[in-house]
Amino acid sequence: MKRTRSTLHSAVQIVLLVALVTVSSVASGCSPSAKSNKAITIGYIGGFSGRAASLGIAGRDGALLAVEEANAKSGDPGAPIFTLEAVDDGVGAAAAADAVSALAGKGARAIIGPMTSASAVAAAPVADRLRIPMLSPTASTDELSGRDDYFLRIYPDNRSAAKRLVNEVLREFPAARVAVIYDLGNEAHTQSWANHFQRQLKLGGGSIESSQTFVSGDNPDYTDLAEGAAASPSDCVFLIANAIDSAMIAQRLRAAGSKLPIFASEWSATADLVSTGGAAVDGMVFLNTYDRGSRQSDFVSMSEAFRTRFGYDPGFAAVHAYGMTSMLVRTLSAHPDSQDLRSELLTGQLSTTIQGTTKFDRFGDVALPYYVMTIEDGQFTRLDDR
Amino acid sequence: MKRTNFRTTLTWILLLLALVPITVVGAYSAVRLAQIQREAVGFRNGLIAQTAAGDVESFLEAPVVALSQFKLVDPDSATAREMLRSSASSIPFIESILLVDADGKVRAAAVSPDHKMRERDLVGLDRTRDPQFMSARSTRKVSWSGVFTSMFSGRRCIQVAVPLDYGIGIAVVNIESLNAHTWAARIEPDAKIIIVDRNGQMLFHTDRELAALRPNWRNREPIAQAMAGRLGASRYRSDGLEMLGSTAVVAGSGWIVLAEQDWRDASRPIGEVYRGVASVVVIVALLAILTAALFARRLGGPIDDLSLYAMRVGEGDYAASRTVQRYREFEELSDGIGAMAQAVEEREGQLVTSRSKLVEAVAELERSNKELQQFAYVASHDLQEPLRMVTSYVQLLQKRYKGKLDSDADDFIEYAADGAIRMQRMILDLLEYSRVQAKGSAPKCVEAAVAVESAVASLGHSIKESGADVAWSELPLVKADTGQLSRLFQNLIGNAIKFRREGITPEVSISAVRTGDMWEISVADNGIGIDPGNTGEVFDVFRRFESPADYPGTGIGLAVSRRIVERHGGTIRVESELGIGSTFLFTLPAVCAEPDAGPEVV
Repeated sequence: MKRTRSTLHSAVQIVLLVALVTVSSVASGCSPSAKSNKAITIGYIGGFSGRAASLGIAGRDGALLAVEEANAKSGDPGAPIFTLEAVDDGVGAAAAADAVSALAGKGARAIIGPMTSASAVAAAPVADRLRIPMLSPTASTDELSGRDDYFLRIYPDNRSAAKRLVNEVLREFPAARVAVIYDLGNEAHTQSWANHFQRQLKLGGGSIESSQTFVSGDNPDYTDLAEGAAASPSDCVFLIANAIDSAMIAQRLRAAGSKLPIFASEWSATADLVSTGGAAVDGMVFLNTYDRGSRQSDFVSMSEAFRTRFGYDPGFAAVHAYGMTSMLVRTLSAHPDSQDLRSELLTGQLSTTIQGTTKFDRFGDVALPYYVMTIEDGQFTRLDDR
Repeated sequence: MKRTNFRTTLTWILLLLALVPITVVGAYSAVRLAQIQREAVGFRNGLIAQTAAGDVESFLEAPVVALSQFKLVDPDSATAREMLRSSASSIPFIESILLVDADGKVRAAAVSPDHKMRERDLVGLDRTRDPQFMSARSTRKVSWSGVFTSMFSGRRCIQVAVPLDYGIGIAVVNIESLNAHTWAARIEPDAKIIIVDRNGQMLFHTDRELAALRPNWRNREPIAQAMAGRLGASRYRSDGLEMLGSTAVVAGSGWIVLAEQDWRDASRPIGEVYRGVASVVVIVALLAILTAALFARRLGGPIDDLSLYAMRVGEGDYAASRTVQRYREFEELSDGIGAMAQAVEEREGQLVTSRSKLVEAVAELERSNKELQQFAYVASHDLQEPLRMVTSYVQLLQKRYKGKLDSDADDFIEYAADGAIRMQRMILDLLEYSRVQAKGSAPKCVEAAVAVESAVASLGHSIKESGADVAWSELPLVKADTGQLSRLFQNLIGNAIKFRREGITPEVSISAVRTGDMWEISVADNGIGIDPGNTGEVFDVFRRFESPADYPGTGIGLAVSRRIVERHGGTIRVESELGIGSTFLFTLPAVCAEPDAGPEVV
């Protein structure tokens, strides 16, 4: 009987072992592998729907490329792994404010965005309250300039841009008379732009001969706008509108027989301007905050990588989002556990953009160089290096 | 030899018999099922992807068809304007239609009712730098743009340019209605369907929240493969998950449709099979153990009974009780052991009886032998004195009355005297023979050569007289009664000299060889030899084969020699050939350690 028990006992052990191995091998297929790298979340706020979707998607793609490159280059086992958590604020500026709270709730250490001035103005107070740095690649509103807050940006404010563009206008037309057309659909951006332009022009001896507004996407009468400008005693036309609206106004202006030179803000300067504007946009002058024809190696490699990754050429939104996100991941890599990331970003931290180096001022604003551009035979070309 | 346990072996065999087939069959089934499931999921995904691609293609074909109807219509005509308005208002996903002449100038336009744009703003526009216009004009083929966000509707749109007779028809198509398209609801619950444009930007995903973020999946493995022209099913990792996906391309637009499924979901049936197989293996194993235990008990119980029974029989308990066996084979085995026990018991009884008789016989023989020895000794010893007296008086009669009586009396007295002397001689020999056993000294280790030398010294006269050559090689140390060993050699050497051939110088050679535990010592001569037929009787007491007249002696020497050898635990034999010589070979135990040899048992 003793032998029987011993045999039974060993056999049961064997079966339990077989069962354990079987169950373990079945279960092991479901086990996630452990990661040792610290995960850092970066938030992104931009419009993926609505009329600003192109800007939001391009900015997100630029930020994503910077994050992916940072993760790919990180060979150190202890180096942080970055993830980009994106939120759509395309439905309105209020969505941007909610997005800041949502991203903070998800543990985002900093936020890239928003991409529009209206959203930035709405979101900045929330970022201040939650003490989360918010770095906008494209917001230009003056309302957030010179404030010691958590809103940092790489894009120059409208005042400096207006001053620079007025110089170009006055260089061409001393005591210029200008017909202004701008879009109130993006009033946070365009209104201050128009105001600064008018102020700078007046200071330079010029004048606004006509000022017309429209709301993009709300049945604008491009023909009326163009004919109104053409009928004014102006030397040139200044547009503050998106690429399609600018192209449409330029087309209607030329259709009305006007040959008035056209100036525009950087907002217009996308490929859509050329494809929709046809020959009507040739000669249009505008400012760019990046040199799209730069042969600088960092820019060329970024452009190539962006094109490979996303299948289209990077515009100013993508370029600035990429540069700002790169700076952010460098800072977070150097100070992954910093309790005062804003100070790390501002104090003594040289921020390297893809087209040079610059620094935030104490308010988290920067002064990027401007590039005066025009269109010749459908191609963007630099005007200021001739 | 290490013995294995029958029950353990039986249990193992039963376990293996049960587990190996079920494990092999189960493993094969699981692997095969996984393969089939993978193929089935791949096939299903492929079907979903192709169906979706076909549906999307049909969707995108609609504006092409709508534009194609303007192929022959004059763009400046009222008919054209009417048709444009009709198309723009009746086809819900068309935002705007432009009829452009070959120079790129918009000749006629219509927008959908909810489109926030005026038709008059569109007429006259220059489209020469519109990529779709340029492509369609140069290739005369339909050209699709990438996906863009309409500035007028805020919706995602694509633009299609279709060659017409007089120019190009261009339509802006809202693709967001794709999200509500019916095929999106036809897919399997676990499967996901993704559509990306030709740049990789997501147009549709079953997960609407993910699609709303419009991620770019250009670098996702199946999408990248499809963009490189490699369509079909693949297995890949995505966001840390293993996925099975199939891709198809939407003709014309270059969009890619991916139908994918989390391998965990797809393999859930396989996991259930794995778990089922594992459960069956465990259950079968447990059943096998139980069966083995029961079987071992059924088999092992009778074996234990029989083993115990055999053990008791072995211990002499032939009347031990035995259990009635359930199985015929065991009952027969039990009967066999019982019969064997009975036979052994009977034979053991016979053996006891035989042994008892044997012991009695041996005792009787020993007693008889002892008495005989005593008798022989006593007889030979005690007979000497009266015989000496008879001999003396017969010799005295012969001396005093020889020639005084008649001649017959002289002869009779002479015969009596010779007989008495011969009898005296025989009695002395018999006494010597009996003394070998009765008066021998305790054996001790002696040099055999020393005994030989002693014998040669005793035979010095005969050797000298006969000129015999006695030689011996190196002889061993043997355990023997020195005197008897010397006497043995003396008898054998003496016989060699006595039974020499006429005219031949006797040569005696003594040597020894080791044969197992014994030394075999040989004494070889070149004498007259012995008829091989008589060699068996040559060691008998008073056995002679030659005439006493030719070779005096009683014939006791070789009998004494055999008795000496046997007393020392050896044997003696002779090899001989008439006219050639004889060799006497006797053995003695090799129990004395040689001085220069290794350790030897003494």
